[in-house]
Amino acid sequence: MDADGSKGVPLQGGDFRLTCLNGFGDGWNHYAHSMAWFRGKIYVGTSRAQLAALRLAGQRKGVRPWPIESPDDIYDIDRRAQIWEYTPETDEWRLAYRSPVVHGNNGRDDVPSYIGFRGMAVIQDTSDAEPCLYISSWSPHTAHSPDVLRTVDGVTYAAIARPPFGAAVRTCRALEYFDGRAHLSPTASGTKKGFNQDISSEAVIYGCADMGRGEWVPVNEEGFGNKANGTVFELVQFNGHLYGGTVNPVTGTEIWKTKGGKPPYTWTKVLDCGAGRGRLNEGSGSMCVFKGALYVGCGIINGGYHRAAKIGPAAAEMIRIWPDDSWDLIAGEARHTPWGLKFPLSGMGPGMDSLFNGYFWRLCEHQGWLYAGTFSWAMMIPYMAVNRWPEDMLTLLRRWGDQEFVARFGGAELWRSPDGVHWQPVTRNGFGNKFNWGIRNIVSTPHGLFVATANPFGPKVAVKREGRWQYVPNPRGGCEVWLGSTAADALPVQPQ
Amino acid sequence: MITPTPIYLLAAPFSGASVLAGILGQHPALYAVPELNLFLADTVGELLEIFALGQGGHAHGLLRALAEIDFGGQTDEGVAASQRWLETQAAQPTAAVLQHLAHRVSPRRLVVPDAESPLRPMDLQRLRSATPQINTIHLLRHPWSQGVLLADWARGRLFVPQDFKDHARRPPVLDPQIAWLRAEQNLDALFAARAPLLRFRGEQLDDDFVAAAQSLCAALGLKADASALVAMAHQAQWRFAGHGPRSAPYGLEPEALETFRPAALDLAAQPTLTTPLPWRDDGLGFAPEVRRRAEAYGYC
Repeated sequence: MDADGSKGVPLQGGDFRLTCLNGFGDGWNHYAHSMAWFRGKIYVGTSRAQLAALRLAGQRKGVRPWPIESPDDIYDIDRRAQIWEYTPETDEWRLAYRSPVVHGNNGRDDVPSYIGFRGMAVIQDTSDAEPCLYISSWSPHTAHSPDVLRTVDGVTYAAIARPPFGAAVRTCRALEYFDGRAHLSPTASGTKKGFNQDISSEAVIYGCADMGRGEWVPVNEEGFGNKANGTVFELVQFNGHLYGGTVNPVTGTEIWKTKGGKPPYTWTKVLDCGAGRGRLNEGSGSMCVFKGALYVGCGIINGGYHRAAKIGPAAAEMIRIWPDDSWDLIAGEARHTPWGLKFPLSGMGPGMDSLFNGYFWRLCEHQGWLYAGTFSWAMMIPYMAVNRWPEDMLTLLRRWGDQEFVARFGGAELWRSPDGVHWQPVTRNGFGNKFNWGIRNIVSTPHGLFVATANPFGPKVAVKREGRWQYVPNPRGGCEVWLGSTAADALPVQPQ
Repeated sequence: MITPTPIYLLAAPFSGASVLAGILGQHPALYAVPELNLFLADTVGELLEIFALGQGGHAHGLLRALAEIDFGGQTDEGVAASQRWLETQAAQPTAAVLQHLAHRVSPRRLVVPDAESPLRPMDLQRLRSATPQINTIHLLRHPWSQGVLLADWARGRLFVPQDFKDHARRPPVLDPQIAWLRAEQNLDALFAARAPLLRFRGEQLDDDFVAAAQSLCAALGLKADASALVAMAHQAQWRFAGHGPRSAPYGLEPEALETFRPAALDLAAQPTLTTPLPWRDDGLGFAPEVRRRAEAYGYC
């Protein structure tokens, strides 16, 4: 073991190999939106055609041409979300589940029940004879309310009883088992007027003591009593408490904790006002316990630029919270706060010194090292009107041109640290694929560290050839799953 | 011949590291160079990439040092030759460049000022890993004096590094105490593992130059005879004093290259920990964390 307490060999970029690419052979599998290690296999839930849906929703004005070829009718795309299963011993992927279709409230018979699977957790609940895989879904507003699916064996999937969601709730994300109950919180809303993938119509955490029998109940007051808390975005247990982080576009994220007990729980506020950064820390998007502290990725929803609320663009921050509620700034902007003078202990600014890193999307411990994966919007630059950008950014762009720029800076970043203070990059360019704009999931397993990406640049991407834009098939568009391992990980793993 | 272990002068920005390097560099047993910024990266190739990305003069100190030591002097031609040489070393660890310079100036002992690494723990870790037996001098300056000088330098500048600002305000406002605290806290973490040869308050040079120079020499095991002390008093004659050639003019901290307004110098010479800070418009004083640490260093 090293002096800093890390016991494993840190992974370098070269330790990672690609286990699948091109969205499992279907470029419309844009996001590997959820991932879990279950019964000796890795499971990945996809979300489909996000970038096509964003175009139709008109949420990204000024983007031209649209980065991918996408039809005017979303139903021209098969948006049935998928779950894929990987067996490390045979290096094989299998399509384990595909969303059914239902009769939608738009009169169509081909409305997918689920267009995405946004969360996964392995839980052994009261009625479960063994640990089961639970999957939270994303349903279009033309279908039904979102479900939580359950599988015992990775083969058969069935929806369990839903929480009493409001009609506008479209998805939930976090699934956290704590103090004898499963917990989840809605994280998107949608109606025929439009949708928001990161803000729900209710800021409620639901708890259920036995998912086999239903009975989901709210365990917190709506928004923890603050109407500005639009959503409880992430949940995690730490130090005998359940922690919840909010999206708050008015004053910045709040983080609350509870010891549990009888619902509704008593909650204590840990911090507010975006940890003193205000709206630029609008939400808490990722949480991970590491060496006695809770690490939290904070930032602005919608990739670091919440246009509707006029927040950003700005890169994400990382903080860590100690059991006594004191906290450190790990990467971000130095500032005076009600909690004292804070400066980035890592010496790095927001987004690990990159404006493009809008999120720390996932944090994960693996063999004594903390890994942090980002979302980067750098790959959008060729499609954006940049003439009004700050001069220093334009200088860089002019120096290289946008294609060279994204070749150097396009793609998400993965960082590692043995102590939360000393950070080194594993990759700064999406493992060499500029289309991997996000490290969406990271899961530690006995076989190594699985890293799954968000990559919406398929099936056909806009490229400029001889001065003209055209859509061409993108063999590296669609989510990818990478496996990082060292010689130590290659040792035989005992079957579970 | 054994190459003497280099000495690093580690300090918060605007704490006098470049000035002290000029003083020590005049001692006949020492050879001081500008700031090298070697430990921004693990390898020379990565370092060159970072230099190319930056719009400041981070490469200038290293280029000037190599030009002077290896390529015929601090000229544009020497700088170009230094750049080409570095490119041939792309696969080498940055520590190898430090060893190269230390060997080239041997038997004199290499002295490197560094007011950048203290802001970044990863850079300090690289420094410690590269030279486990590194000898360091922890150079201190009162946060008031440091802040007044930094604020005077920053006055009217279009670009001031984000590290020197308080981002609680929009737009962010200058507040040098943040960088001071950050650097000093990082250095104390470094020195917890291996204590510095000397913790030296730069104000000692103003109070009694000869006594301060003698104490520096004693800590470094150097002769402090009259000729050495006279040489040290003439730091303006240091081979790296002032600007370098057109292609690499910087490499020293601004306070070693530019002049401050007399009023700023007067104000910097009246340190206090208890009054509102002159560079802020909101009446804020030093943060309690800054005051505590400054007092621990003997400042009041």
